Amino acid sequence: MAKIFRRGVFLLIVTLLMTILNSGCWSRREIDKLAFVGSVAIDQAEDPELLEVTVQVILPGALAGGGGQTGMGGGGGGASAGTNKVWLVSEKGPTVFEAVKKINDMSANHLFFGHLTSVIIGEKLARNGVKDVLDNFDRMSELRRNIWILIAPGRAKDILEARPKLQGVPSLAIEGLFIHQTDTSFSYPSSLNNFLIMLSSRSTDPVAARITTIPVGHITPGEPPWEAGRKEIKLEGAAIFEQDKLVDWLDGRETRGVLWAQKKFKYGTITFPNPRGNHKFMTFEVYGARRKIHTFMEDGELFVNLDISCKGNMVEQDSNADILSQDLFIEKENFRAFEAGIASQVKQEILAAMDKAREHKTDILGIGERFYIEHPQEFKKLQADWPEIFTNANVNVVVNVKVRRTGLINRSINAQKIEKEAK
Amino acid sequence: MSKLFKSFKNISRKPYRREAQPPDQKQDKDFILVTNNLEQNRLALKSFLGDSPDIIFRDVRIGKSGLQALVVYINGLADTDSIADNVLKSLISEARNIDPVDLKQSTIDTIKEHVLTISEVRETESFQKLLNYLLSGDTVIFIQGLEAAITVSARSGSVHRNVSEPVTEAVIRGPREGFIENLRLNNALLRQRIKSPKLRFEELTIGSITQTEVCIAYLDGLADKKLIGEVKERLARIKIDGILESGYLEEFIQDAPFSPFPTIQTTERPDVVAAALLEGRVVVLTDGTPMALIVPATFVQFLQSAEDYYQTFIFASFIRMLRFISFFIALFMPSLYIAVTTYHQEMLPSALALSFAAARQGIPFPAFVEALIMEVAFEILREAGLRLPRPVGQAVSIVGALVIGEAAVRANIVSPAMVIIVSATAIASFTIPGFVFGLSVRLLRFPIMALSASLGFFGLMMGGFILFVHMASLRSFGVPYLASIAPANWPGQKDIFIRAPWWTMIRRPLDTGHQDPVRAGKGQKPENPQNKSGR
Amino acid sequence: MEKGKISVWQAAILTLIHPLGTGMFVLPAFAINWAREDAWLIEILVTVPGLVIVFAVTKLGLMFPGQTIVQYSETILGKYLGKLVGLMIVWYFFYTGTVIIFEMASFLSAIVMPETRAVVFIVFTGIVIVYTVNYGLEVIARLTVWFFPIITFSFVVIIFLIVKEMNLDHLRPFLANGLKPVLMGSLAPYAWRGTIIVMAMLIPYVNQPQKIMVPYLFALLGLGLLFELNTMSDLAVFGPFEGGRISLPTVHLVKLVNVADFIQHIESVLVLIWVGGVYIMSNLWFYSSALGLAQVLKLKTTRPLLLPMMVVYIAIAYTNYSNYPEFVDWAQRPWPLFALLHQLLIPVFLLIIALIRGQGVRQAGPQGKG
Repeated sequence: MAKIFRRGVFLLIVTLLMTILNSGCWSRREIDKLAFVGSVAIDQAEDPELLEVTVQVILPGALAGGGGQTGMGGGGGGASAGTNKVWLVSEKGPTVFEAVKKINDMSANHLFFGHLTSVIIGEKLARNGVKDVLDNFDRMSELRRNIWILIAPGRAKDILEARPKLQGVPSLAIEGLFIHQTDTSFSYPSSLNNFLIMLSSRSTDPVAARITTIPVGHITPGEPPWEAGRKEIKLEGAAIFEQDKLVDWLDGRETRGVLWAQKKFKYGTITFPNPRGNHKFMTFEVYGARRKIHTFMEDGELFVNLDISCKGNMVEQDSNADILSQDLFIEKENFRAFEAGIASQVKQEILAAMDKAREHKTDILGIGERFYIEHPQEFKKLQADWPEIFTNANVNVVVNVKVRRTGLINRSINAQKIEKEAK
Repeated sequence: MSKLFKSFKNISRKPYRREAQPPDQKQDKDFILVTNNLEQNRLALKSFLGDSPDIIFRDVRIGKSGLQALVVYINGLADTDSIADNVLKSLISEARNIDPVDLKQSTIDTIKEHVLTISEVRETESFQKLLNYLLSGDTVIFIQGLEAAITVSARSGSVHRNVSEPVTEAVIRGPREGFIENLRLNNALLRQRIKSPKLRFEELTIGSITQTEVCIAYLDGLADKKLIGEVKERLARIKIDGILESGYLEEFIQDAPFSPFPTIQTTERPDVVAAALLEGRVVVLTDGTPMALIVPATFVQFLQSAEDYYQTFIFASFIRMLRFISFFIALFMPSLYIAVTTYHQEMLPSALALSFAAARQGIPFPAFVEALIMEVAFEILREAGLRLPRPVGQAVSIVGALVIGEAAVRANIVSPAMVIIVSATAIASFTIPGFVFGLSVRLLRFPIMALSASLGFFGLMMGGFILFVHMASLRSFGVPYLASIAPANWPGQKDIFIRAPWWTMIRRPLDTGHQDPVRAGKGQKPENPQNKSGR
Repeated sequence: MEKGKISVWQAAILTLIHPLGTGMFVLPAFAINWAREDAWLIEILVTVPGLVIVFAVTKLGLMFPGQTIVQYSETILGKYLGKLVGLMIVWYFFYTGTVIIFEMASFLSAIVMPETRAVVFIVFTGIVIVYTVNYGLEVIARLTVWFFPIITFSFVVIIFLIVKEMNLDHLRPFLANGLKPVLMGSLAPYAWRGTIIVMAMLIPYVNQPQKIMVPYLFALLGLGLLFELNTMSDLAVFGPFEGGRISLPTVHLVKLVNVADFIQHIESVLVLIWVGGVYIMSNLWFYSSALGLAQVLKLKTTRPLLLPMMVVYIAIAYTNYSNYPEFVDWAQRPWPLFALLHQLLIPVFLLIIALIRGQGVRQAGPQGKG
């Protein structure tokens, strides 16, 4: 008896195991049956109830060397403008998810968002509020929170229709642009994570990067005819929001101001007229930014003290006022003048950003957060009126610059004649 | 294994009948004794052995007494020269010098001690034992009127090959000797290495028809007495008609017959055996095969090679770690590939995902089937390579794999990535020194592949856990299989993932050598002579 | 019944490591949601009841050598009340085990393998657990001790790789909202920390029980440290609001790792830690409940219980909650009380009664370093 029982249990377990192992294949997805979505663009459709979602699918042969001798015919020769590398498709729907589902109906492969790198939102939609749009991405488990959120003036779809020369595919191009965004810091690194943190915070209003297209248009001899109408994409500036609605744009320098204030500035260049020279310009690269910020209330007014310090290297100067003299002695006044010049430029950037913030009563610089950290109880009392208080704040910016290097040379080139004149 | 699961095993096994004893002539022979009638003995012998032309019956008369004697030996097994010189000559000529009176009174002793000049002499009364000796190559001497026979050992070198390097266990640095098929000579090889009186051999005869000699070797005082007793007991329990190879013994005495992992180490190298003996292990040598069995065996040993101990410790440690990594690669790599490309594509770096996708365009099979095809093809090629003559075989298996892989890629049957994965796996499994263990790994790959193909990374992990639990529960003659890994004890670490220099390995491994823990003196790290006395 | 013996440090590592696999992922959301930027205080606070548990369990373990908490509850409280308390403890271990399996299955089903139904994961894990537990405590200990460096190493590496995303301002200001949110937020984390109660079932099988105190404390503090690091990292990366809003912040944390564009998308580490952690914790808890039940019923071995218990286990795990939010609610409200009762109140209660009645072996006091 016991033996039969044991045998029965054994068979049961075996059957169970077999069923389990076979049925686990439900989520099986063969990798070549996936459509890798690189970017998503979301716009307001003509019908205000609907969203238009455009999905850019990267075709596997898009990267160099993929496929080899097998099937993938496209991408050969290299002269093409990348027509074979992506597939662009749009659909409309009441929510993002619905629209994506409709796209799936058109797609032979399953849309896979695991490698999504950026989400572009059109201006019209952004002005109505991005929270609901982002909610879908928030819940999606396939993607990660370091995808970029970008706002496009006009239609987001236009961005995806661009065909940048380098990196062929806009989603990869955007990725690349963000990677070396720090070369100039004229744009804002707004990842989904950063954006949502700002959105959900007590007082900060979010900022998102701005992306535009630049038409290239003209035909140069030797280029194929379809180059006409080609567009490149450009990452510059930012969009500021009030809560989750877009209110205005920042240009490059104002964006930099925000970065300075938020301690996110990494690297950039500053150009200004040479203070010691003759109306020519000089350019410094600026890096190593540090920020000290203090906020306090006095007589019902908010005071913000912002201390920024950074370092600079001279990269180009178009006059003969140098740091080191002819005899390689240091020219202290020049030195100080340059530092002051940089400092004033930085200060201008920050104040410009602050002006924009005041204009729209949006705390994009994160001053509220600082105030909360330093005076939590007071903040709680003032929280309801924060936009007003913030707008009337006294902001005091002090910038401290240290010029460190001048590149590979001690003195700039001077042709003989000029030197004689200077003497 | 637990009773719970033993009962499951019993279900699948057919009930086996215990009655049939292997054909055994034991019962008959035991009771037949040598009679004092020479003719009767001769007839009895002929009836047992039949009329084979290689059994020689030689009549002699001893010395001056005219006592009749019959010398029987097997041509080919016995050394005829020695017989002629030491037996026949002694019995016929030298015995003349002995007083016939003495001869008649204490014949056996006289002949044994005074006449025969051969080294090994025994007295037997039972025919069964007689036959054993005769068939092993000894010479039997019957004497008219005596109720016992004398057996004399004059075995020829017998047919055996020269001592040469074992093929499957070649090393770059180290001795090139391997065991051969003759048990005595194997014993000699061991004695040459361990010249200690502590080295003991105990012999058993197993196999009712083949009467194979099996020898247990150990170092007295070093090996655990319980272990020795256990080994002897398990060997004594074996009832089978023939033992042709140590593999037969292995299957009878191993701890977990259904486990894919070997719990007994096999080797052809005497230096490996000697090292094992020095660690307190027990070795079983079998006549007729060069493969020695070492018990107890733990997981770690199968990833060690003799060479680790001869090369410098830095190099050896590096190679050891490489082997551990290879072990994991050989076991998990195809499964990992299948799991990631089928279920977890978001885990790949984007560029890699795209290139995999591009590579797999147009392949008709899902990843799992692809992997299966390639792996099975590879295994077939490997087996084929073994059967072909040596120089051709190696080339065929490797080149064959590459060529077939290449052709398969071109024909769009498999993707290039899969060929790479499979080749990497195969190469990794080649680095595993223990051949049997390598087989286990090759086998185990398949169920894990199946698991990961159906349940992705989760399945892979569960497979890994099941394996680990199985290994953790395994014991080899009382020693836990994962001895120094789980639980990890500090001194054991010196010899697992790395090989610590000899001057640090002061103690023997705890599980087997605990009788006599210290093996080397302390403080022997080589030092620059200048540093010593500060001069 | 259980003939295996493990060393004190093995027992400590078992106690330390088993809640990590699940707690790491689920805990921080609870902590951050209530305490916001003070969430990092919670783990420190929660150590206090942990210390009480450590002392109570050690003392009881030494007073009743060779007996698990189930057994000595009978000794202390008499046959009926003792068996009742023993059954309560068995149920506690059993039920908590089913919950964590459910958690893991819903995570796998939701995030890693969407179309596969959760039941598959539950059943499969259940089978592997039965297989493992059947071999007894020694094998469970070996498995866990081997897994321990893998978990801690992966964890530390992840923290290391995510440092650049951290913003320590998220941890300030200090106690701006008072202590109450911190206390509310520490309920669920307390329940996790209190899982060290499992040592009460292990002490009889330790080979030198008088030396258990130091390793046990180490387990408590080590666990606290790891959870603390986890919560702090989540807080630092996601901030006080997002950290509480996201259901599994550590999952997102791992997804953010991106080094040189190559070490990215390492979610496999997540699956490894979570599945492995649940497996290890379930092993121990399922085993404890089976052992406890066998001791209450005075059986000779746990074997006949294992399969039927596992069937019930799987059934409960699968049907108990209809969805994940229900689990979240349970973890916040009933569970901390459930845990408090069994982890803290029962041992302390037993200890007090035993002392009053003068039972148990007199010891000079649990020794520290032996």
